[in-house]
Amino acid sequence: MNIEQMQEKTTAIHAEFTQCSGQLESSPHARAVEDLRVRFLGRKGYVTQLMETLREVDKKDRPQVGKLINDLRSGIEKEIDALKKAVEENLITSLLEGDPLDISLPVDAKSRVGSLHPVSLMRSELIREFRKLGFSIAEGPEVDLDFYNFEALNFPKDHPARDMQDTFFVADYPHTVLRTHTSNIQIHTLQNFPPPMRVVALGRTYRCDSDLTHTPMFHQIEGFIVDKHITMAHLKGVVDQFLKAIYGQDLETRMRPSFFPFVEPGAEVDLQCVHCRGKGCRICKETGWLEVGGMGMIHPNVFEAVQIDSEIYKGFAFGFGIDRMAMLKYGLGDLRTLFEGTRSFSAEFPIHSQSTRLT
Amino acid sequence: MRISREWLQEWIDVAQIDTPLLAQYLTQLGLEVDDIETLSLIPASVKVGKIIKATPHPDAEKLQITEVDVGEKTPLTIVCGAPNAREGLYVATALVGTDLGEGFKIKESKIRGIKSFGMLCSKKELGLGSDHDGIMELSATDQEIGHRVATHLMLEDTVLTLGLTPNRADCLSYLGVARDLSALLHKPLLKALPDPMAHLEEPSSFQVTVEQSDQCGRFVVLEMKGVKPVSSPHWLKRRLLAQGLRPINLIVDATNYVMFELGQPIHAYDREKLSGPALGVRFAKEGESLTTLDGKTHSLHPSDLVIHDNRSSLGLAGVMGGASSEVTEATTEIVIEGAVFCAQAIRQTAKRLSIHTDASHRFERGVDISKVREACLRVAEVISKGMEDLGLACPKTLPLFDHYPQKRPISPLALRLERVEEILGLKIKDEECIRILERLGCRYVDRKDDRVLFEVPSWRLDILREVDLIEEIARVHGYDKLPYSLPKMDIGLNIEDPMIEFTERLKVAVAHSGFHEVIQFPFVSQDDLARLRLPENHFFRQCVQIANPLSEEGRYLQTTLSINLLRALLNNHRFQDYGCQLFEMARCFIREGEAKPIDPFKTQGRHITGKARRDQRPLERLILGGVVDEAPHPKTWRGAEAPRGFFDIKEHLFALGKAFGVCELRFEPIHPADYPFLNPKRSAAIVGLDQGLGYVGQLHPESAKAFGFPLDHIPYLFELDVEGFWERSRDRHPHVGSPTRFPPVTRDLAFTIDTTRTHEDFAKAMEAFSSSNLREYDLFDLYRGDQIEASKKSMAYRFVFQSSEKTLHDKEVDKELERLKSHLEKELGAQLR
Repeated sequence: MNIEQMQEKTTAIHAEFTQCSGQLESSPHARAVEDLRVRFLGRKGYVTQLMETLREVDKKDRPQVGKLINDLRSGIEKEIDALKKAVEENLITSLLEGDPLDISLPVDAKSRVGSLHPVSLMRSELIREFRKLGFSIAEGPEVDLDFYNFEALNFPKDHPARDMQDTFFVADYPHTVLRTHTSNIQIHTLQNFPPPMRVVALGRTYRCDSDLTHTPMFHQIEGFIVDKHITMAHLKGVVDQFLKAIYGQDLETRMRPSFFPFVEPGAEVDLQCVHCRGKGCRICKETGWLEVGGMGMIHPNVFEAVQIDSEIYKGFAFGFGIDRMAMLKYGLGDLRTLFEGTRSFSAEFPIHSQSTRLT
Repeated sequence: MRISREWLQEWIDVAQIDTPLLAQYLTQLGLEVDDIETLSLIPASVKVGKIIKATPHPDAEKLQITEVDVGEKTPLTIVCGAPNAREGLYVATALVGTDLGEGFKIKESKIRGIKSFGMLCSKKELGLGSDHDGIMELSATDQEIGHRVATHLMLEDTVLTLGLTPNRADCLSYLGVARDLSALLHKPLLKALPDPMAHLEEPSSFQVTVEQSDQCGRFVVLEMKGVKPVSSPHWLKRRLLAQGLRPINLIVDATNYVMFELGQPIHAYDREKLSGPALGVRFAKEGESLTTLDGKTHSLHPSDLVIHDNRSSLGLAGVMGGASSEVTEATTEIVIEGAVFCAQAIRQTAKRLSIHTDASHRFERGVDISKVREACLRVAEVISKGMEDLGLACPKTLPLFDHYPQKRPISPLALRLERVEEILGLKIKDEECIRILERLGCRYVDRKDDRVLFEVPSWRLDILREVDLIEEIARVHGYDKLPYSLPKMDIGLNIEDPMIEFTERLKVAVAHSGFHEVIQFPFVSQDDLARLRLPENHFFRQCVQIANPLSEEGRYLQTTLSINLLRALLNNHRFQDYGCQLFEMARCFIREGEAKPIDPFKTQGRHITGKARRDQRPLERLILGGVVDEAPHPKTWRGAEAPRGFFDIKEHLFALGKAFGVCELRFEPIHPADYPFLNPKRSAAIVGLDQGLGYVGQLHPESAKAFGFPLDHIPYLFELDVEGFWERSRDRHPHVGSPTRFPPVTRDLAFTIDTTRTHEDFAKAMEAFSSSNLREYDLFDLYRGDQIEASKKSMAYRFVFQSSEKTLHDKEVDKELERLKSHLEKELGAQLR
């Protein structure tokens, strides 16, 4: 093959390419451009085939012929690149044209994710807040021996203090009850680990009582700190901190004397009403205050029951009803609805609890 | 305990303190005020009126027609028979509707043809005296017209209800509350107790025998002659009414009066009904029975204490008197008994017989043993005063008998003044600490440096240790004075069980997959277990029984969450809410008895640690359970979703496994006997590393029927042993190789295969196929129908080949596929479709 023949061939191929590309639509599909590229520049494309005929060309003509073919290739490549660019531009234009999405169309987020029960949300918030204060979390048995639920907590047998808590007794097991409070965890923990300790214990508790404001099963949280120099002023400070963290820094707390056999001195803590912020409303019976929990310095009898020297160690304990805390936090009016298991109720709640912002 | 301000004023001067402040003081002292009410002896609808006109009744000589202004628009016409009714007189006017007690209700009426709209009252009609000569003449002013007569006469009283904690038995009396207030307010008590030495001049002829001295520490008897059980005078009745007690007669009323005043329960017997001048205390005999004052007959138990005379038992000691020796109108001689009984014995009897009385309430909590004699003498005083007020002859009080063998030992209690600050975190001056305790009745005995010795007063049975004294100081000083401070602490051991955090996260993950959490009472009944078709020896039948359930429906603790979850689902159906996905994470309780049925899970519960593990107690296991209602989603504009069922739960569970790193999760066929409440054709056991972790499946149609589910929408349920799941996720890092950089080659192949073959069979065959380049395979289509034989199905898999060393050639892949095809044909009889 000589130079002229090759010249003709390249011209013919280029002509064909021009024809083919001319046949493309004004806004060609990316696929058609790619087909075109394969047909001319691919492994078995015209230009590649032509390049393979270079061997048949006279050695002296080869550089010139080679240049011819390379020019053909680069010419076609350039045009294909231009086509590709046009394709992209067309695509971009078309993506921006047309009706916008009706972004207001509804989606079904509610049934895509479920929900956590408000008591669980409250529980996780409590755990989080107490962890920030350096507490460890503990759990314990719900069915427990009288010793852990009462005796070691300084409730003597046949004492009216036991009437403060209507107890479910367990048949078939001697001296066994459904725990009436989470304070049994205090005994289990003190028995197994050496002080100092900062612990919150949470869980289900049981009392045989059922009316508008009592359910036979309910949730409690109890916190306790044991160390050598713990005082009642610390108790006041910690409980105040924690209640403010949950319900807001603007609320005040106050403490007044009360009695729980496992603490001495014993106290109850009032929080300014979370609804009216202390001004007085229906929820706080116009007093501005809500009774939220019991607390006190751990009774020396309790320490002695778990073989801790009450002269060396002191501690405090406090307890709150998680259900009540959740009702206050989420503004729920009826305790019974918490335990009816209806989706319509549950679905109102999120999965993640949020901390109150500290200001 | 109800505290009437009128009565309290007799003991301590609080007249200048208004009621809200008084309530605040009491609450500050730890005597929480639960309720405040205004009491009036005269009904509120008895108003101050003024007769503006009085004319004789045309048809009755003794009657007058009066026009009475009671502050309303028009005066009331009231027909009145009193001679002193006259124009300009201020009168107590009972409006229509007023209830004057004992069935006397004022109604609109016609008196000799004239309509009358109320009544002008006499003193007697208002219960203010016996004067019935005419209507009461009020010295009121025009401004008071229409006001309540009770207010005008200052006959209103305020009653504060104290919610007393069980330690403060001493405040179950006016004396006790006054003592506490006196310590707080620095005010003296206005009244003294009777002289305990009275009526001791001569020895009493009475005999008292106490068989068990540990059951009755003191027994005081005082006889009175010439008493008259008349209706009590007004002041006494009024105070009992303020306590919410119905007055009976002077004798009974006086005993109750003293109980409220001093806290000592007292009983009075009709002397003539006793067999002689002797009383005793003993345990009831086997088979003995007794009729109490309320007319009920109780069969007694040998642990019940009874009071007896020489003949028979007379009453339940410390709980309620007996009918046989009751004081009646005919009584002229009485025996007053004041005693102190063993708190535990009284409590047991009161509980066993379900009798809760003011007396048993006090005895259970503890009565001041040193003031029994004073209380008995006080009863005699009240009776004498009452009879005197009613114009009756003074009764005679006989010599007193006091059985008090072992005087209450007084051992002083030491207070280290430094310890006050150590406990409270506030320095209170030493002198102030001592003064507070003294004001509370503690007797200063001695002081050595920091140690002060005190004698605790006999009425404070709750002060036993130093820390109790410190509480007293804090209480009177004021809890509000303690500072708010935060402790500085050493870092202790980390004692937290890591599973606690895991469970919190697991709940969040389950909620994210579309389940709504519910929390339910963990109680079930035998009927529920029967609905699950559980045979007697089934693991889920090993229920822990509650001895005193609220109802038969809640006699047992749950062994499975399924019952209450299914019930929750039904509850949602009641509200027309179908298609729910609910979950709960809660403990299940298993009785560990002689019978040892196969336990589907192996975990032992992590809530108990250390020595407590050796206690005999039920097994508690944390279970995650869920139900999925099969009902389809409602249609949306994006098209309806397929009804949810088995494979949704499977997907959720495997996703959970993925999320928590439990990689070896497997489903295995269930044994129908293990889970009789599941449809055996649509259920699976969940297994992780050969340990049973739970089950998933459709409720058995028979169980569905028993629970009341529609048979065309039978729910699916699952339960997962959380501890087992956590163990499988613990410390398990999935193997991570370096990612390959060479491209994968995919091939889709459809096989026809016998319908009995499962994906599991396919997976096993694949396991036996060795290929270094086959990376994964996925089932992407499943078909049964006209296109293929009835005994066959089509399963289409996508195979992905990838080498870690080079780009694979088509030819290499084709060769492997050929090998695979013949392998599957040999193993499963699978034909390429």
